[in-house]
Amino acid sequence: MILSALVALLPYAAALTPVKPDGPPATAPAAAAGAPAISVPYEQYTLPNGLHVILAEDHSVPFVWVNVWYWVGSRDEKPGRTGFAHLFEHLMFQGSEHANDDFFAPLQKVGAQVNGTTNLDRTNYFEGVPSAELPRALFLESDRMGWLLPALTDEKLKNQKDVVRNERRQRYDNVPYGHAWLHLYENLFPEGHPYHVPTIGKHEDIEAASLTDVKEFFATWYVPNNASLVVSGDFDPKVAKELIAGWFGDVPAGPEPTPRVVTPVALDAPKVVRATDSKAPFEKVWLAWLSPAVYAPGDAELDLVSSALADGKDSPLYRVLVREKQIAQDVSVAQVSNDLQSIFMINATVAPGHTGDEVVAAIDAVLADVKAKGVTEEELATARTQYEVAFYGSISSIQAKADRLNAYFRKTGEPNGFGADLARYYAATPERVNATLRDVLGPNRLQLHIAPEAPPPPPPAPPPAPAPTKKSGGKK
Amino acid sequence: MRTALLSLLVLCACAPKVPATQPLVVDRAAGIPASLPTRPFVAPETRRATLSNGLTVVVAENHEVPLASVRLAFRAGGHADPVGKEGLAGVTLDMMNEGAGSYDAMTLSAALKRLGSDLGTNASDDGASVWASSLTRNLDATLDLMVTVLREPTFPEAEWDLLEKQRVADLDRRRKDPEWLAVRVFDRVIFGDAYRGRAATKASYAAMSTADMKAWWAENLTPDRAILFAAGDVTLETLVPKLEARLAAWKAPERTAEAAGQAAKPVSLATPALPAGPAPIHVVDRPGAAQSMIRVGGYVTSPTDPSWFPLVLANQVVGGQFTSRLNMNLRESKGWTYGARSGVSLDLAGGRFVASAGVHTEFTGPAVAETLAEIEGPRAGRPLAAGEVEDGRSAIVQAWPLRFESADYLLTQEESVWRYGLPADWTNGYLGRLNAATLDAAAGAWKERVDPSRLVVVVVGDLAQIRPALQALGRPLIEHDADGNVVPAPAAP
Repeated sequence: MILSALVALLPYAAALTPVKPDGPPATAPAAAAGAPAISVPYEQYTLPNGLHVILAEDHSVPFVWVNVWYWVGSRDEKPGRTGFAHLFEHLMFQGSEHANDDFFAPLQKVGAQVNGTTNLDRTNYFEGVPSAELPRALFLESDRMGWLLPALTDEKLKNQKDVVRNERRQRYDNVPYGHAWLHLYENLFPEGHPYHVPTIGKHEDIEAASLTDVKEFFATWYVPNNASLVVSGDFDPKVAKELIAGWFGDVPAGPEPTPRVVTPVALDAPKVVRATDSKAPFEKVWLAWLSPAVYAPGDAELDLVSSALADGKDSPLYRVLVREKQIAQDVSVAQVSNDLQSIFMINATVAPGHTGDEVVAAIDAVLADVKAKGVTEEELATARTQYEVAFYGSISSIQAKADRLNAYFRKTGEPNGFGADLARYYAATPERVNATLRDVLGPNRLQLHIAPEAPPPPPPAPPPAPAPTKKSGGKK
Repeated sequence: MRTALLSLLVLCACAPKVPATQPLVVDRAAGIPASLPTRPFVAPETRRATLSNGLTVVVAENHEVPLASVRLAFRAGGHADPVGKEGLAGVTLDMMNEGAGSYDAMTLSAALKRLGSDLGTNASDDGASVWASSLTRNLDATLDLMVTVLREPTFPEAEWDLLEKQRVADLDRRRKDPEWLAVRVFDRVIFGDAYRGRAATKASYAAMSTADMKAWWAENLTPDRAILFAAGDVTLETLVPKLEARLAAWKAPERTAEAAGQAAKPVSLATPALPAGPAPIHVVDRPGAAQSMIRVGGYVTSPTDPSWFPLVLANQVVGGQFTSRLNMNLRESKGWTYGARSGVSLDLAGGRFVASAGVHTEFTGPAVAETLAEIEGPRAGRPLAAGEVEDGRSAIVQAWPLRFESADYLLTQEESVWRYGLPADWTNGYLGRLNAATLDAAAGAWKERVDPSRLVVVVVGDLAQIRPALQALGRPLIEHDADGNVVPAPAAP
């Protein structure tokens, strides 16, 4: 709750997961040569109402995490209701029929950590409680899964619309470059595409949400057969199974939801967007390409490309833009992985006295050079080590592991996807990486500038003819 | 995507159905179910050793993943920057990563990257640190690089030319950040031109040379001002010989007895008194802002004062958690904010209480009034109730084991003990001290120490829109620029 929408934009693959390299494998995925064998022991089963359950013990501290994923994200919103999946997530914290109190109230006083997040593709809810309080967490989590609506009122809805709109003001409207994500998604994904408007949504759509919308959304998506439950940490499996069967067994199943079928989109021409932001201290530029979905061929390769391009002071982009030419203050590169389609993105802050067009030209020169020479095996080996380290870092908390078990299950069908995930980076050969680089980073891309004030006219001989230029101010 | 979905559903169907367990008979109408038996928890402890050069080494083991980190903390920081050279400590530490021994900035960065290691050099107002983290298998090579950076920084002129431009640009960036502006003005009002009230400027950067940095490094980054913390997949037995081999020759400079005595003691600065009151509202104009940033607070205690734990407890109720009075009012009842909170924290000047929220421009005036009213509540009108105080206490006590899931918390606490001169049993005695704080003590400390009419109030927002509502609160408004300087008031209305 304290978070949400932007989580959608974190690359999954870049935030890999953990666990002891020598753990007993439950179903050990085949590892690529040289990949560390990482595995998390777990067991899984499905309740008669369709709720999938994954249990993973970890007795390092007397705490246990309950982590529920619903396979619904902002991509599933109806036209005119952008921001609704996230608003709904907030309503899940407003009490349910048998626990009609702020969701935090009974949990916080037993020392729980509680939150939920919404992104383009899914919504998650999680609470870490002292081991003794597992029944409390399962009761509350199951009650809002089955009995949210009887406790819902128009007053709660109105209040959370205000809260969510303040979240948008705080994280998007009131900060420098806060609208960059909105511009990127709006211009990369056409009107009508489920990713056209990022998760946070538009003020007027959030305001328009009604109780009828809430009831419909709940009936469609918040059914146990569209959810999976991970219990991870310090618990006795026998006790946990009894509790789960008791509390979740009577949550009624619903019709099988049918996610929208979406075919990948492509830009058919280069696109240049010049926006202004009165809060921005400097001009900033983004180059963005549509790229393969999370876990699809090319996804891990592009993570490796991002490391090779901009990790460290000796990386080609940083060296040329920031150190040699000194036309940029910083530069970063990321493969932002999503379920339907991802975004490969380069962004840089322009140094005073220079222009975004200069920076874009310099980035293009570096890219041309890297494409011509190719990323080397040595650069890949270095990048793989970075991913190995990041992977360990991201699995060292029980909650991170729990969330990853749900993510792997949801996206690949195998909760213990840790080893297979990391193995992708070891299986990526220079040939595959370079082919992906040349294939994805083609001429049809989005070039976004956000400048403190009206940008200077574009240079006389622009590269290929840009699509319509869009202007937007810092305020909605 | 469709294909992926179908295969997933098939997998679900293939998974084993319900395990052979008796379903529990549940009664939802009975509300929160009974707890399971409590599992005992014993907090992990650190282990210590002293190197031959006198440096203390503190280790917190955690072997869950093959990663280790080592951090040297120093009793030296921005609080002692010379007048006119504000920012010197920070820049000196930054520059250590730009060249050391035979490495230049790029070869150092490349060497670390090949190892998958990180190496950081930073200073804050209160301290400085040089740290590294790495895969266990690359710890030796990483320590070599860390010690090179610690002992042989080269402070290259060309790197300072580049870094200075970046730091100056940072100043411009911060002036556009509403949260930073609120903190800046708050600190400036409280400290004037001392401690947190000072900040680097374009002029102070221009006044610094690499010779200043080298001198600051030589004087301050010495073993007699340092302590070493290690965490993760290491043991004291394996680490100490590695450190001894690399650091035995690292010695403190010759100092007078007085200087040596000071280097060995925590730094302590005077605690600023609250304004006599009634306090004005300090404002910063940010035309077009969608929200206003509110910050209310002041120095009200110190961690060794008997009021510390009672205030921590009272704060938990007022603004220290999601279900606090402040957040439930401003967010869950009024819908004016994404979140409002308060905290009690310590620094070199003592212990401060700060409440903060970003609120919708339209409701700025009432949100300031409600924030002050929630702080006033326990003092008059809405006394702390036993139930909410016990819930607040329980929230901290029961969450305690989770803090030890990684080694970081334990070491952060140990560093506070060392840096701020806290009792040696600060961590182990924490829950005991908190549990000893009574409802009466919490209510009494709050009443005596946290008087909202004397707290500093800062609001950063669109003045054209919020000024009338703020004026209606009956306190004088003082306008500041983005550097915290007072803007002369226009002719009286």
